[in-house]
Amino acid sequence: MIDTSRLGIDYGVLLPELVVTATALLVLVLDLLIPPGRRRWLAAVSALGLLLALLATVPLWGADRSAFSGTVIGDSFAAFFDVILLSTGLLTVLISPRFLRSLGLEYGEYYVLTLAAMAGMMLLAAATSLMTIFLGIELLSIALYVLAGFARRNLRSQESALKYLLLGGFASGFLLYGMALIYGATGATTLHGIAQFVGASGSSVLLLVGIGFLVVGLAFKASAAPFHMWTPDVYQGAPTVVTTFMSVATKAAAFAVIGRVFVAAFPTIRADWYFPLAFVAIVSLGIGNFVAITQSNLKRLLAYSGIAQAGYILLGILPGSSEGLAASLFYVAAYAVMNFGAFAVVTAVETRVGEGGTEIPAWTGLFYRQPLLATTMTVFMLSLAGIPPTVGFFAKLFVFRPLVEAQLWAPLAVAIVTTVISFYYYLRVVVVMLTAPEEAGRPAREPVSRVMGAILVFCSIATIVLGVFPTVVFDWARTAAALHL
Amino acid sequence: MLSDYFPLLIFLGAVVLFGLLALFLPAFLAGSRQSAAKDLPYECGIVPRSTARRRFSVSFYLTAMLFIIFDVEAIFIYPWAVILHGLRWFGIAEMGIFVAILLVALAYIWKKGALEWGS
Repeated sequence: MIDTSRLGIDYGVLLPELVVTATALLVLVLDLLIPPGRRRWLAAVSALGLLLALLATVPLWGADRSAFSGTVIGDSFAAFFDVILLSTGLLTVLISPRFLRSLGLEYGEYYVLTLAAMAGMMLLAAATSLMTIFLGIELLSIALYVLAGFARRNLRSQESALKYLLLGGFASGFLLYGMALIYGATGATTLHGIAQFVGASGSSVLLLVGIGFLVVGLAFKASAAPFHMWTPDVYQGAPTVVTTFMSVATKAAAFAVIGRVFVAAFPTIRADWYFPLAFVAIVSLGIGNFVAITQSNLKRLLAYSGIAQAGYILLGILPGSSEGLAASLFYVAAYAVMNFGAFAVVTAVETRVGEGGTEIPAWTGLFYRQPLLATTMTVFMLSLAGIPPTVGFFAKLFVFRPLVEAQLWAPLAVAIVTTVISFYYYLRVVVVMLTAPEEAGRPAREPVSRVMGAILVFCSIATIVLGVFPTVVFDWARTAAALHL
Repeated sequence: MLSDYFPLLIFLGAVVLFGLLALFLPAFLAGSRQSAAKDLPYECGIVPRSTARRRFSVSFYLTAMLFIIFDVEAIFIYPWAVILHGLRWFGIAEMGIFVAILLVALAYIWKKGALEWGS
């Protein structure tokens, strides 16, 4: 008789992930059973599953349940990210059916793959072992490779999937090699064991090289420069709903790992990892904000904006304090709301105009044709730029504050200068939408679908409300950031 | 710390040396005798009938991919079967869930026609 109680089996810790996985399987089976015309119901079933998973995260808040031999943990940190990821997934599933129909891509596999990617991302948020981190990364990556090429008759979509697959596989190799070296240096795969070893005997060359490779792999997934080369092409080529999902959720999941690994497992050797992470943050801010200026395609512009935003989120990790981590968590939540909104507007415009709808000239005079889309887009752009009273302003403020306290002037100076530069390209979008179209007469108004309208209004209200009352979410972020392994 | 790996380095050197020896030593000891048969591609000992550079049905690729999935399933089942006696019902339930998930995958590829050949 084998004593299974020593394995630390606790399904409650993984309940959200299990619910999402079960929903994915259910949707796969339902897709085989229902006639093709009824595929909208798959979106409803997926949304229901995600809502259930959202409920399942409630008991994890405030808990500290390490399970499965220390490979996963159910704590406020995991719950915080689960809520962000599940909300993003839920909104994505809700805006998808209409967009997919407009492209003739109404397949059940879309929902299965989205849910599988969600399960991987949530596993990342809960992972406390190198093995579960790798498992989560692969689960989300493989699903996203397929989703990026989901419009398989579209050449750009194929290009996007191939680039993401080849470069992503390469990045996974770096990640795995880094993990192997860390294991070789410390003799442990759980973050708890690694932290204990590092706390007792300090760093070694082997460990630092391992951490370096780990940074490469994770920065790739977070699309932080200089590992960002794939981002614009993949974001542009993938179907816009997929881009919406992956730009927000993948980045959040990657930062969940970065936060847990660097602030919780390697706090004692911060002097060693500070420089490489600061370099990645500074280069991301520079490349993202400068190159975005020259973009003429909105998806590419938002891709470069996303690279810059990754730099801002990384700034909060640099001090290595839980206060800084809390700022990063708040930034991730803010980024989820405003970036999802911005991409959702692009989705809505593209649903109506077709593929040309992502080029900036097509947005001229949008305010006169689709006032709702243009108004909400303005809110998201102002928030991404960091202009009060939107949530983006406080996100930046909270991230800058720990940098001042830790007296890290170089990253702070770069962040402030590039933020001013970023105003140009964010506000240019607003100006283009306000420019009156050249044709005479009042253009006809084009209505937006009810679901899309409701989601956009919800996101823009959230952007402003969180900007006026940021302390509620920031307190949550602070609770989540109080990590122990 | 790193010096613990020194035996590994010796092993690595021995491997490379042996490989090089096996590659070049026969040329000196045995000499070489060329014949037309030696230049043919090796195909399990059968005389090749035609060129290998022709188009294959994509079904081969699909079948190979599906085979790997269920091959991996078997790899998981073998070690499980060895300790099943100790795991009792817990082991049965866990493997039941695992196999059920794979059954869903099988139902999916079956219904999608991935198991049909060339129709």
